[in-house]
Amino acid sequence: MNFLNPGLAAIGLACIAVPILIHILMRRRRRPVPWGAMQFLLAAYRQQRRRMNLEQWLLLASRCLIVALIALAIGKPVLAALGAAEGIRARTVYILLDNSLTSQTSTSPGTASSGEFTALKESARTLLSTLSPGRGDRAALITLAGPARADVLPAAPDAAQVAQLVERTQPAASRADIEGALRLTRQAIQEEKDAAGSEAVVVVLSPFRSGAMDLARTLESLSTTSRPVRVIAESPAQTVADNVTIARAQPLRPLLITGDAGAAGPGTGSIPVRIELTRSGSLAQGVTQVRAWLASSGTQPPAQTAVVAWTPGQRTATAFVTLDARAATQDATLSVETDADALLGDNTFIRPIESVSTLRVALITPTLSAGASAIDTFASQDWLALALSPQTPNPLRAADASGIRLETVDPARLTAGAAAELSGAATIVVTQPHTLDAGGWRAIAAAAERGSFLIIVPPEAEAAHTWIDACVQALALPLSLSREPTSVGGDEGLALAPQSTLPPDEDLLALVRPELEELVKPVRVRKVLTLQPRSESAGTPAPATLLALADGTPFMISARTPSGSLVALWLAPPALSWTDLPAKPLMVPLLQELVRQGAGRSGPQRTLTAGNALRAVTGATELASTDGASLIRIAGDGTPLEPLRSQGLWNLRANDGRTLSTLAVNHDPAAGDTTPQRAEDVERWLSGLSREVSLLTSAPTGEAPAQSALSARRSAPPISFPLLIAAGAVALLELLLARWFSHAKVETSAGTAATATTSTTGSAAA
Amino acid sequence: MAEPSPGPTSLDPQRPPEVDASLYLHPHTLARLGSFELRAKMIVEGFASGQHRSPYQGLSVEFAQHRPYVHGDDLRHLDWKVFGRTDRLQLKQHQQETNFDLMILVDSSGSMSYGSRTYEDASGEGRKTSPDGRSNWSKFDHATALAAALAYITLRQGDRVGTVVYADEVRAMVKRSSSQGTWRQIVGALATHALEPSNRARTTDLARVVDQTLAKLTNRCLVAIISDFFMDLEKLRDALARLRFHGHDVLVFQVLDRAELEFDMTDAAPFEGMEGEGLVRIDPRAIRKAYLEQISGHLTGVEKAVRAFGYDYQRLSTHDWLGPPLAHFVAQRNALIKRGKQR
Repeated sequence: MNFLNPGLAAIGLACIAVPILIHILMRRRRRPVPWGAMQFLLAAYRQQRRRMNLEQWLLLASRCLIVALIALAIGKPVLAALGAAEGIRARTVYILLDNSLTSQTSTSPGTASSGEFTALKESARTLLSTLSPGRGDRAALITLAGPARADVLPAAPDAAQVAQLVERTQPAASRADIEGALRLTRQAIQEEKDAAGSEAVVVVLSPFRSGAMDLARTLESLSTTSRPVRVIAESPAQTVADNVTIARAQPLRPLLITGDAGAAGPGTGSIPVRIELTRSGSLAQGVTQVRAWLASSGTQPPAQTAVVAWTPGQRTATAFVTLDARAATQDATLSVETDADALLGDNTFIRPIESVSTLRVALITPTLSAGASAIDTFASQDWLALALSPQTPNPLRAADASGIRLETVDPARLTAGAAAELSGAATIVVTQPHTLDAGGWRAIAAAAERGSFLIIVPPEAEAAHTWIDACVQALALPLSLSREPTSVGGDEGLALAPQSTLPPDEDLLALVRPELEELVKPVRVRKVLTLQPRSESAGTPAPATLLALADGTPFMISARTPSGSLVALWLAPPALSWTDLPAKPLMVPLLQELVRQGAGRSGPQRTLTAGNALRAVTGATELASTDGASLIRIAGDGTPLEPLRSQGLWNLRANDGRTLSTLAVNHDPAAGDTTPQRAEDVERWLSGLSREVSLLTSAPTGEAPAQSALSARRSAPPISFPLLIAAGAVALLELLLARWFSHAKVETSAGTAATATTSTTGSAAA
Repeated sequence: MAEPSPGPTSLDPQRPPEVDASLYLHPHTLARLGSFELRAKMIVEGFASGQHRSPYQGLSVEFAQHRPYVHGDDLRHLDWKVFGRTDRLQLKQHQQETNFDLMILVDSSGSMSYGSRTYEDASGEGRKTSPDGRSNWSKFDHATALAAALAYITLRQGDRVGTVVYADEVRAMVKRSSSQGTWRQIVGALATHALEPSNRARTTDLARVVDQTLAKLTNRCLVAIISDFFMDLEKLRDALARLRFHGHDVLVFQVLDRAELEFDMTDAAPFEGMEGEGLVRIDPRAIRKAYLEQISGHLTGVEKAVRAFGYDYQRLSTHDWLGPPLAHFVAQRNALIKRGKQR
């Protein structure tokens, strides 16, 4: 049991000794009265001794109880039930602590320790210090860095322990997940046991800058019919903090082809990197220096610098740097850095760069007649081989100067089980898919699982494309195609549309897109297979259209298998009976770019925005940070047991300890928006949670805002009235007992012996 | 609490008796007198004047009656004159000459020193303490006053009076005598042995005292026992039975204090027994009912025991005057004399 006034309670309880002392002292103080008729007194005493002792003890106990109750009333014990009766209800405080990237905003750039996150933690600790476990107060801690995490849930009575957890909470690089945190809180409030009489207080500790909270989203109420919820929020930060965020840093080709030794071809020795920046704050005119370098095997070459000159009001900018990749090795990492600003967490960006000496392309085809036949007899595989190795007379002899090494694989051999021929192929081009049986598709699916990029080209001679079913089933693609081609554009055919609605990240042809305008002009398409997206494939993203016809009909689509491998599906084969594309200048750059981009993007995920879900990696069992500090197990379904919230490099390891790939976790660019939001807007937004919303403001008494916010309800009297009433009741009882035990009523019937004496004497005298 | 008397109270023969002696019968007056010798005189004179005529008839040898002769009678008692006149043998019977002897037994045990009444109240004269320094009027004070008065009355009639002051045994004895010096001896004995320090814790052993007294008595007499009788009823019956066996007539005066009868104290002070019973802490209000039942039962038991032997029983309170017991004594004495004449 705890007391609001423990000192007074202790003194009061010590006063229980007073009645006992009075009793003892009174016994000592009294002088004995000599008594003649002692034998009758003793006989009466022996007769009444037990009753008298009981009466004495009852009186003493009731007197001690009166003192004890008064002492307790003054000390004011804080019991949950008692508190509820007095308006001091037990509180369950749900602390939603914002440790997102935005919360690390510092008004004095370069000193992270004085950032807003430190102030939020201090508020949380102050608030926790006002809780009293004796009254039944409990505290829960949920950190907001996405995805929101329940650090202490359900609420625990040990506020000190929660305070220690708050102290140990580290800032993350992800965006605040207020919805997730509120979902956890709502569930906890509903499931909280012994909630009767207790008050639920949700404390949102966040600077409420735009990057953390999106006020456009409406919040669902936390209050239930049986339990109102009070919401207390930190006052939104109002200081202007200038911040530049690296929104993205992307090498224009994700796969670095270094080429054979000494065969440094064009483009193989350098990586152009596109760096996108966003900024928030005062948006004044200014300059931001961007430094980028490609580190590999512990070496760090000099950084390339780009300068971004901001005009007033400008929010986004893009910078390009070209990095020397000649010294890059397999574990090369791209690092980008900007100048220090209000938010340091978004000033760096890292990305592992996959590099190969030659890009192996496996062309699955029964026959290849390239170079031997006339052009008009070329099948689609011949056009593809030619486009992949345009500079090599015989594409099968050596690697092309561009770094692509073409190999052909007979589908019959795949069926026979020679799947090993596909291992190591960065790209697999499937032609004449109707010649593949189930075994062949299994081999291709296995290669895709290992990260190979698939290009599937329909057979040009087939009237009915029944192979599609086997393909979709083997690769678990989220799509469906018509089994018969559709003629488009009549005899003339339809032109290709150069534009794409895809974001640059997902557009495999983004690099050549500017040139498509001219290149697609001569191309005509006469037949295509039509796409019929499947509605039930909700788990995987819908296929993206890489190239479409002028009427919008997809011509080439890309889709991902559940394991994350990329598949590019041509809906018309590069055959002259379907389209004149193979004979046009577009064919070579299209296929070259498709192979390079696809090979770079297929396979395991290399970058991840903090807080987002990691795509499952087949065979990976754990994630180990490259500095060796952290280790996260990966569940059987390929998802990590703990979401990745902090920036850093991680190695995906197999069960045998082999590193499968490297993953870079970067900050969430959306969290870099440090634009302050108005307090009234935040209050209005939070009012969706509860009707009772208050912002922490500094109390005039100098008390910490968090402390005063929680103590606002404690306007109860300084003593406990129920206990005082109980003391009064016991005092009344004691009075009645004392009167009863004093046998005062015997007075009226007293004098039996005396009356008898008088009458005897009187009669004798008479 | 009454302190025991330091010694015999000195008499003041120069002090003249009060004019209106009846006033002194009240304990107020008795207490005002410094000496209980004088006090007793006042009591008796007051009592006598209240009767308006002397109740004492004087004793003489007189003819009582005739009865027919039966075989075996002593011929010396034949009345020859009657035989001569009537020719019938008649025996002449005479009133036997009787000596009226009074033996007064005064209890001086520890419990007799209790007295709740203040000396000032009892004296009525403003004196707060007795000549021997006590501030209360004890049961023993009341008992000695009564004993002295009885002795004085008896001596004035020329009868013999003896006194025994006792507790667990005979502490002092004055042999029966009708001489003038007897009065002074009785007063001295009562004063000398009144609650000496050695008597404080003494209990009452009446049977033993009766035995010791009977050893000194040769003829039948009237025995007046003045005590609070805080003793075992069986022992009381035992003592009375012995007196009965020897043919003595007994007057029982039970002297009690009003506080003992009412027990109306409210202060929860410890009570200490006056006959060595020890100390008991008790709330008098809590135990009053039970106590009153106890003492009431005992008083009834004493009275029944006394009356069972055909003896007279008188209960006195220290707050009452001595008139009624003295009148009772005189009536009892006359009845006794009358019975003696009829014998």
